[in-house]
Amino acid sequence: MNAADWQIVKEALDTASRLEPDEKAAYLDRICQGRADLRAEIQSLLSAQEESEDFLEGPPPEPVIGVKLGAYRITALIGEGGMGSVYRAVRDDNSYTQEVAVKVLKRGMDTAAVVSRFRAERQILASMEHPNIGRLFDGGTTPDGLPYFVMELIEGASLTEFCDRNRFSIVERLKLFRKVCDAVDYAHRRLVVHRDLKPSNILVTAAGEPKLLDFGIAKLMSPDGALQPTMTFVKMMTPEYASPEQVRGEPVATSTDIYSLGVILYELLTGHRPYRLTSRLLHEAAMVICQVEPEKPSSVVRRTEEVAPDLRITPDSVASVREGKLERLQRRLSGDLDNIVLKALRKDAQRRYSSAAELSEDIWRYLHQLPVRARPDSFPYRAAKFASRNRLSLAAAALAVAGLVGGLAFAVREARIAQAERQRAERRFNDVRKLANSFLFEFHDEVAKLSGSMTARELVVRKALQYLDSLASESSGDLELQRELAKAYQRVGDVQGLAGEANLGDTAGALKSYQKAGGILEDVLRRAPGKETKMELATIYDRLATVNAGPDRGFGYAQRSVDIRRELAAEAPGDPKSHASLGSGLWALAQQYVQKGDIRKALEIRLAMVREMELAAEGLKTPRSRRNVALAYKSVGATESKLGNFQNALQYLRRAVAIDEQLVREYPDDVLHRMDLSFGLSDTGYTLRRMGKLEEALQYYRRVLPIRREMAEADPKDHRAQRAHSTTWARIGGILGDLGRTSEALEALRQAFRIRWPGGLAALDRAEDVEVAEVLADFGDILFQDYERTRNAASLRQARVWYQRSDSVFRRLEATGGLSAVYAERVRLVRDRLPRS
Amino acid sequence: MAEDVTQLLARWSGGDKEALDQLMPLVYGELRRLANYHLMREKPGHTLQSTALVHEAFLRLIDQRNVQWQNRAHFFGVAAQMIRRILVDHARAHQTAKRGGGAATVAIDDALQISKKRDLDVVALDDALNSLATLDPQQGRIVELRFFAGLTIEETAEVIGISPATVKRDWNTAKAWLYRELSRSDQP
Ligand SMILES: Nc1ncnc2c1ncn2[C@@H]1O[C@H](COP(=O)(O)OP(=O)(O)O)[C@@H](O)[C@H]1O
Ligand SMILES: [Mg+2]
Repeated sequence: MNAADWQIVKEALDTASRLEPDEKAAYLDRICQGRADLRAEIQSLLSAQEESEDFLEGPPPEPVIGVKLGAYRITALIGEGGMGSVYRAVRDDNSYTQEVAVKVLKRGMDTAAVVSRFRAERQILASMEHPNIGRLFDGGTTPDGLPYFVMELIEGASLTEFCDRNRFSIVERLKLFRKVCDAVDYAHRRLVVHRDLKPSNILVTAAGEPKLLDFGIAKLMSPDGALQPTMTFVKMMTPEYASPEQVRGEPVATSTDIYSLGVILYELLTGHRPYRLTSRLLHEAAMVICQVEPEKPSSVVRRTEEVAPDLRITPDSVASVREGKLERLQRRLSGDLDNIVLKALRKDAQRRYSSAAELSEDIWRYLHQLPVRARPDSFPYRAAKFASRNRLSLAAAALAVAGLVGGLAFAVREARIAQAERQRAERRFNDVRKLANSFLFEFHDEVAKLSGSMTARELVVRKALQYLDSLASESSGDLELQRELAKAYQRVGDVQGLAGEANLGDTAGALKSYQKAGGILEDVLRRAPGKETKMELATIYDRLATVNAGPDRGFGYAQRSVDIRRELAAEAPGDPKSHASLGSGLWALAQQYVQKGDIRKALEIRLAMVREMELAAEGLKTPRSRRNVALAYKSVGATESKLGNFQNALQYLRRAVAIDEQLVREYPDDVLHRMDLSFGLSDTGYTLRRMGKLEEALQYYRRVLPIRREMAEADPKDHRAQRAHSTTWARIGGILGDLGRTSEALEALRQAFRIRWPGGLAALDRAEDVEVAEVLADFGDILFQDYERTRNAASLRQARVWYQRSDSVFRRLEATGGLSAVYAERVRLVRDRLPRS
Repeated sequence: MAEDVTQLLARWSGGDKEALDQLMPLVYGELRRLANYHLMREKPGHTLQSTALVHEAFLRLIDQRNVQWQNRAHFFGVAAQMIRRILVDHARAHQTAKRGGGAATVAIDDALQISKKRDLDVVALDDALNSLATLDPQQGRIVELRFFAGLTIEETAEVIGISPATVKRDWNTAKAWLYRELSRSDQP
């Protein structure tokens, strides 16, 4: 078998193992397409698969059934957790038989330290006697040298599971939760902090009594008695329940448990967690926990959330085990319960409930229809906090946006109702507006620089649009405000889908936002012509030109923008800003010519753009203006390369790379510059490949790879980043193929493939995606090249299998009219190499 | 010592290639020492848990308070290749010593586990793994990390830089393939 066959076999094996026996045969027939050898191979592996389940898997958890630890004999495994395994055990004195649970810590913990801390804490832990706290009886070291703890055995289900299974109403859930609070309070009064409160540590017995487990254990695990973000910490904690101070590695106090209680209550009431941490990287988890405000319980229940490929939380699934109807559930949660939960979850430990008892009492008040103590964070508090930050953080932004929407509605209502207080209301209105603008202008730029901020940005965009639309409908008379609004729409559009910047990939949304902005400005200009407004409108036209799908409309926008800019530049000769402005207009116009296929005209415009950008950077010297020069060089380089003027191309690209490298050095935290650099490098690689300098080209692409990979991993939802990463591998594969390094080439393509389409081949065969067809054809190319070199019939056969697959995707696209003429050449090549039927 | 290795590891994770060159001999030395210690004491048929070995090396070499958890996965990534070499060398030496007295085995299963206990011919596994790696280098690497260093699916994904789902799929098919290859070689 060769590598290409193995790929087919492997995919088929994976797919077939998940099919019913009767589907299997048909599937294998289809996949193997008459190749009996493949089919036999898969069959033999399928039976091997059944027997190999335990093969090479790690040793079973130690110690195992039958082993004696002190006075206890292990009888069965109960479950495994982050820090170890829990077993059922029995005390086999002759006198009496008592069943207990024994938790044996995993290897890799610092045994000696854990055991010594246990000795120190043993007295306190053993003295905790409360009906809702599982007792800790004993501890020691196994013969293998692992620490273990002997605990009360609790037969029950986890808190969340218990409530869902019994379809507990909100009131029933709250009553149960209060018992949990009381137990936590009991421990706190003995100065024992749990540190790892989560549903799996709260079991509920059949009689409905909650029992808290693992009290004090977390502390034993942590160096110096303080939880620090070390490996031990992360392995042990479920970060979703950890408090901001915990993930920051700060000392913990009882307020930490209050926070975790807040997370549990949130989940108990809504079925959602305040955060789903998708990243396994601690610093990203930490960023979310420390900076993103959770959504209100009453609104989160409307959400559908994909927690695992086979597990979706839907409004229905949530409501059905609670109040039955979603609306009812929402009504129950909104107001007091929102406030209570969010108060427990505050980032600032000082502003949470001061004790578990106080939290419990507030719930009691709610249950008795008394006014609760929790209040929503007040607007002035948030605004003040927001303004006092010099470097804006996510938390500040989320707070500010939420506050703005609320504050604005309030101000507007007030203006309507109380004529007498109009002035005061107007002042407030203006304050709100200013805040909104500083938020929209400064915040996005800051956040876009952080890796992995996609979810936060989506939230911000949604909130911002909500705010802007309401402001727009209230303020048509005020021209100044109109201009600000237009700017704000533009910003939102940028975040939604401005190519070339980190964006959410929502071009349709971006187009809409830009059109709103353009409409507003055209209207303002009609009423009051002005230089600045013109400039602003030109900027919007550029944006519209870039996001517009139809090439002709885009062309019109780009031309209009350049006209405005030329006019303005003529009015202010020598001003670097107006050079910059004309430069960026030319950029967009050249883009349009490229799309029309007029490369020479595009080159001409780009050379003009280079001049403008250079002049601008000479005067401004800002990173942005320098970046623009590099961009201009790159665009000329890429065009020259397309036209076959390779030496010219390399010259421009080299200059661009030098600038970008310098910017990366100066601003190592700004991902934008690294991304910029990666484009310069990959264009150089592209050019070198076309010049036939394959080894050199390969080196350049290899420099691109770590950057693209970093981007892709930092934010798995950033589709452009995934795509760029995948494309780099595909290019590397192509060059390796040219070099005759067939198996490496195929491996590189497989990488490309896995990154873009983790679902695997099976899903692809149904795809109607031209890029899929292309990559499939790439596989074919590499094998075909191999065939041409070696005349190896197997390679030809393999190549054709891939071409066949590629062709069927192309055909599907043709049938639906979804195949652009640009691909005609590619399709022809694929078909030429297929046997004529 | 602990300090040095921790720093080297941090530098290496931070992209400093030279740090790896310095790190390798240190880790290899420690692993070898530990492995010898354990293997010397093994009675024939007794167990050697490579996972435990790597854990132990990690605890000894790395300053636990200053290590980022991702570094752990990277450390194990380096150790995987070495532990493989050590185990195979050991098994080979053993084999020669026995002079054809049947393949020497290093039992991976804990002696306490009764069911499905199966001694593993490490040398044969090594050969099969080499063949697998020519078919699919990434799969070879996955097996190395999972089996020889005892990394979890997630940790393996972290080290290679691919998704856990892919690791899982590759791991399952690799196991089936290796199992079959080894059962073939079992036959007379
Ligand atoms: N004292 C106990 N009695 C019964 N079951 C327990 C006991 N302690 C833990 N368990 C169960 O054993 C499993 C593993 O527990 P643990 O190692 O604490 O992991 P975690 O709490 O992180 O899920 C859990 O499912 C838990 O419900
Ligand atoms: Mg637990």
